[in-house]
Amino acid sequence: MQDIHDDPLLSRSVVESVDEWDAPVDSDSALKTTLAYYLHSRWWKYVFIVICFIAIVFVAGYTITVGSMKITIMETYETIWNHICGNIVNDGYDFIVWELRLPRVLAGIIAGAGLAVCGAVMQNTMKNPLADPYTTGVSSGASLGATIAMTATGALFASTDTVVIGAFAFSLIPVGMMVLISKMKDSSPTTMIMAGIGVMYIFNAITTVLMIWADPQQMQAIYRWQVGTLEIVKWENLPIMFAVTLAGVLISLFISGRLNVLATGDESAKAMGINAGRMRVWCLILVGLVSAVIVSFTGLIGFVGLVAPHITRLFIGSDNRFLIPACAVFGSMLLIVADAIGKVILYPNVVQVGVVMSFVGGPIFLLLLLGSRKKMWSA
Amino acid sequence: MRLSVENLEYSYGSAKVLCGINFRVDRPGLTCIIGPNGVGKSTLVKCLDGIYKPSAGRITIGGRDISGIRPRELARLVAFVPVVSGDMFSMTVFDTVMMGRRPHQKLGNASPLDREIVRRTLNMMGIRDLAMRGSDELSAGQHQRMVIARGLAQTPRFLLLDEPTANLDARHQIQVAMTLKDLASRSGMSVIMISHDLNIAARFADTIIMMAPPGVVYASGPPEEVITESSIRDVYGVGCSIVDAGGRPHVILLDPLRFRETR
Repeated sequence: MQDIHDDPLLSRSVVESVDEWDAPVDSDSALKTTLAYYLHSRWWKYVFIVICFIAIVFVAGYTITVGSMKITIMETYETIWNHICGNIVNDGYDFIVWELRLPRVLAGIIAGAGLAVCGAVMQNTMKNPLADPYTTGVSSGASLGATIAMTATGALFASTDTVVIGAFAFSLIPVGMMVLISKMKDSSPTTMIMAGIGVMYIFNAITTVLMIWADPQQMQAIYRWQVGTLEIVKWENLPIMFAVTLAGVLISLFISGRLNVLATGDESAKAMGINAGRMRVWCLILVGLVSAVIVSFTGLIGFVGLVAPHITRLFIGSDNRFLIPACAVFGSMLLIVADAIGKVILYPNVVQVGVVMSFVGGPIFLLLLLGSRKKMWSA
Repeated sequence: MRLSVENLEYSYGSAKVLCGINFRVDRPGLTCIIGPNGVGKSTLVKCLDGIYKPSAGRITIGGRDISGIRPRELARLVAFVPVVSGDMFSMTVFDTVMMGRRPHQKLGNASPLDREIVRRTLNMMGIRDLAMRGSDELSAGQHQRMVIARGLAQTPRFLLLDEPTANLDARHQIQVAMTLKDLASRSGMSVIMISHDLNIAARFADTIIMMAPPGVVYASGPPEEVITESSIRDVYGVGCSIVDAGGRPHVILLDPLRFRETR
């Protein structure tokens, strides 16, 4: 075998540069610096997560203070702490904070985390920066399923299980469709989104038709639910929301490294030992389940799953090992901030969180997209 | 470790693109697959990595049929570097190259050895100064070298590359080809790459597999045996002159008009 050093046609500079590439790394201070910088850059990602977490605590406290009865933020924390310790000092405050306002905030935190993580997972698995449970029709499917369950049972939330099962079953229709489309040879990310939008319109139309048979009380509830609201969530709804969302976030975190590989393309992913097709199906089913459970309690909240992952990427990059937990806390923060804005902006009237998210999320997204020097995706 | 391809066939629907391919790679070195467009080179390489399942025939590594090898284990044996890597979201070059270590990692945690290997491959591909850059901030050539580095980081026994020099300038074409050859000769890795540059293949390959329509192996062997005026004329339909360049053939293609005159 001919050695490159004996090749008479290669210039000395080229041969030397190859030797330089293969120089012992231990003696290379530049690379050591690179590694140190790499490890250091991770700290900012942890800091971002902690900042979001602290912001959630403060915004949640502030949101609880907003209402017909004025309560200070310190009284809010004190009331919650006293309730947890079983030392209820003021029954009125305890009822307002613990029974009326806290479930709404907790629902916002859970829904924000779940929808944001669902958006991040969908964008990676479908290789589509526009994918989220709303744009792909998953939320609309869940919405239709829940509406059918509600109108069929005759009373809103008469059976939580029925509504969730209905929402999940119908959310699987767009999921299945996306899986089928993704297997088509000439399918593109745009095709999948267009199909999702088509399904969304069909499901929304059916939901509207179903409202004809709903009584006025149901109709009002369904309408409020279609625009996305946190105020109908009660304590008894939170355990299932929390359990499913937590499971979804933890599973997403567990597979976050594989999501990174999947985002490089199916062929690259297969070459790195990942069954891309199977993983995509399981991810979409997971997203369908989490979105269905959230949507069945909060209704259609559209912008969180799309905006939260992109804004988070601007701060900490696209590595899913950090993006998933960061999205969870940022999505929570975003949703309860939107809810807080909705409560105060036209006080004493309340603008539902889904409407606020559309008003606030859209411009923020455009501002960050157009104002940032850093590209969020390279498609 | 031997890679053996026996009577391999592959079809896209009713269109057969590989028709009874047979060859072996049984010692470390650089193997170049050459041939005209649409002859099935990329399809063949994707079959070798288990990305495509052959319609007929079999591929074995170390005597084991690759269809029976689990994807993760196969990824430790064979790495594939695509001609275009469609990264949707930009990650740092370091993290992107680190992905190549996934088949070796338990629970996806990078060990000091993984970091060391990534550092070495970055060094080898001449992109160490770009390690902290986003992959969307790279030029096409730098991106190409990053993707090759990711394949190298898999530390496979067989490294498959689909036109690795496609986006590179003349200097980097030679550097990458030399590095791959050098790596093959020193690490015991078998490198199989597709190339459209006949002179790169002739200069650096230990073995050349020349494919011809309709998806068959026209010739295989050392460059001086495979790259001849007659083989280029038969397979590419182009006339050429072959000159000796330091013991290796060097192809000078003739323009079609002159080719017609010489026939």
